[in-house]
Amino acid sequence: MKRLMSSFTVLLLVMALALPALAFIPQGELNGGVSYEWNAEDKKLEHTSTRTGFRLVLEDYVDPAGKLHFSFKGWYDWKDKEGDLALDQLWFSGYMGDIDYSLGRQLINWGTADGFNPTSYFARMDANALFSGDMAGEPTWAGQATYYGQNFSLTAVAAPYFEPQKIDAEMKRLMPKTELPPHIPPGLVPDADAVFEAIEEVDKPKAFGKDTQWALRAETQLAGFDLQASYFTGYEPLPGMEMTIQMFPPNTSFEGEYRRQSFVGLAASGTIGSAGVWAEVAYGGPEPFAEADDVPGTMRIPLSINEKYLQAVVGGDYTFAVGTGLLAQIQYIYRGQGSLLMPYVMPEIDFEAGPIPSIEPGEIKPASYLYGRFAYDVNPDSTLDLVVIYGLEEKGGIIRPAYTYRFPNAVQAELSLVASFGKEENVFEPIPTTARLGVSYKF
Amino acid sequence: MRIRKALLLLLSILLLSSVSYAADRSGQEILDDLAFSNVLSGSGVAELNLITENARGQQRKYSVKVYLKSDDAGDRQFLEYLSPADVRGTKFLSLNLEGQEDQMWLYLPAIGRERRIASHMTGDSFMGTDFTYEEIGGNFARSGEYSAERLADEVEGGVTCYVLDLTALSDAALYERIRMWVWQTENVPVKVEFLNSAGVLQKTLTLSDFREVAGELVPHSVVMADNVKGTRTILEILSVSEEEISEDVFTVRYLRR
Repeated sequence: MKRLMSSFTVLLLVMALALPALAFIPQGELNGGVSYEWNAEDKKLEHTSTRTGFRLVLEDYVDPAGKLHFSFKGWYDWKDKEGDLALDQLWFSGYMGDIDYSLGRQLINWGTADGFNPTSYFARMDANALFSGDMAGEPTWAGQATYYGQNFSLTAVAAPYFEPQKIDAEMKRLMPKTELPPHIPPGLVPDADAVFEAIEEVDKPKAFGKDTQWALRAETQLAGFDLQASYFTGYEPLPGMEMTIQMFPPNTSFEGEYRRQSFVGLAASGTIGSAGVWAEVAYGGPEPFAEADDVPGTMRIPLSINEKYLQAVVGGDYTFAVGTGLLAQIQYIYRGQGSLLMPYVMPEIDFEAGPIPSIEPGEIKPASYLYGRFAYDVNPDSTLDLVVIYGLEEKGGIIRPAYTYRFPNAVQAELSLVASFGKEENVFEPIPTTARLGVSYKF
Repeated sequence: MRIRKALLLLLSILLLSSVSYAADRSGQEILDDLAFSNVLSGSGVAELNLITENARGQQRKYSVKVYLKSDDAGDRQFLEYLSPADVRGTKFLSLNLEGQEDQMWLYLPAIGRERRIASHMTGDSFMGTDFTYEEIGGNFARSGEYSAERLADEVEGGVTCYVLDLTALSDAALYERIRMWVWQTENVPVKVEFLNSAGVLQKTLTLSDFREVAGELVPHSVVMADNVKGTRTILEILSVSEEEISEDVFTVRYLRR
């Protein structure tokens, strides 16, 4: 598959180079930043990252009706001595009468809410998005076509190449760790790290054919509101995982599969008086794990949700007449599949149950959050921004204040802080207080 | 010699009749006859530099392309930022159609889709500048909203001007009072002062570099100063053409392209 994608990339590049009429003017961004974490135990500030990065974009209109886009990006962490260089987007979009289409690796971002979009089926977001504020999601290889009628549009998307959600350091950090009492033999109690190792081994859906992911969307306006109805059939962004416990000899292992899933979604946005409002809902879920034969002395425990569920977002924003204008945004987020931070629920273990601990499946409880964002332009060059996420069931959250200063010539600096708050041992607690200073130059 | 005398007589008559015409015109007649077409009014396309200046004199410069259509059906506006790089590709669509709620969308290239935004902008800042939406469209002194009193003529911006003192007739007017300097020979304003109910000068609009576009004089340099905040917004018109813009431009579909 990788060879196929490489061939497609080369083909599009050759097409781009073969079009003499195109006058690509490179655009992009250079950025750098340093991060420090507050070590609460040692009570000292630790330097965690010095990262530089770039994004280079070549884009031009193709006469008479089209556009070609090529971008790639990379980063290098000077502290950890690691980096990445990757294709970002590569697509051609064209217009034919009432139909607009685009082919290639592209960002397909659906929905009407701001950042949390249950109906954005293709743009995968990693766990770090919550902390960085970059909620755009990842591009995917797909073909997309939209028919525009008089007062409606119909969009179809086919994504033949499956790309899973990235597992980043934040996700690993947030999975709860189990402290083993000395009398518990190793290998018996599941370890979160072993889950992530097992995920890497799971076979991905094949490209093209029956494993292709599909989505349809209809859009219209009603009473001044933008409305979207959508349907998606594809795969889970992370594999559904199960844990198998074997009693004799004691052992645990993890197995997973990318399960087919389908969703129906509705989204709406509009204005009520001077406020912008939106609502978005999706219902569906994965196909349940296949029933396995009972094997004496073994037990299978699902770590992923195994039934259909509901996701919903309702929100609004309003600009208060304070100084240059204070933008306030509030969103309520409901996740039937559980916590925003943990894609898997580890089993509940009772070490006091006897010489061998009792292990029961963890309960996947719906989770809901309040998300608030406040932005204020101190002057034309600088902005104060505050983002707060609070888990209503988890009784904790994170707060992210940031100050941005815009220098001339598209240079900007941002100083931000991420800190958790709430009751003891809430799921946000492992997030350390982190300060980051970043500078970017766009050209 | 006789011909020269006759010519002088003719010129004197013409001059006197012209002075008499200028002197006779009432403030309301001058206001009603304004041949004013701001850069962002009517129907057409314009590329312009939009420069904002804060109270300390620091400037930020944006280049934008604006498509406009204004007719009996209402006002449509499509704006795309061309530079600087940190806002390039951001697009804005505004529909103010008769009998419908105002609607606005903002397209952000970083997230690859549009967002519906609240349309409470009338009377508020146009894209963070010192202009309100009504001011930028030149609709700050609509006929019937103000009574006009003519003051003594003055020279402003190097041209002889009528000076009008406008007083709001209803609460619907944006400002309680407006003072306007109107270029006598061209019937276009070259300077406008906006005052609040206490008579305090709030904003000053200066229009210059008039050039003919499709038979109309269009200012190619427009400066709005907020006298209270000490800020300024400067519009430099790079190109402007009055043409019929397709309705297709003023759609979410066009925003996504």
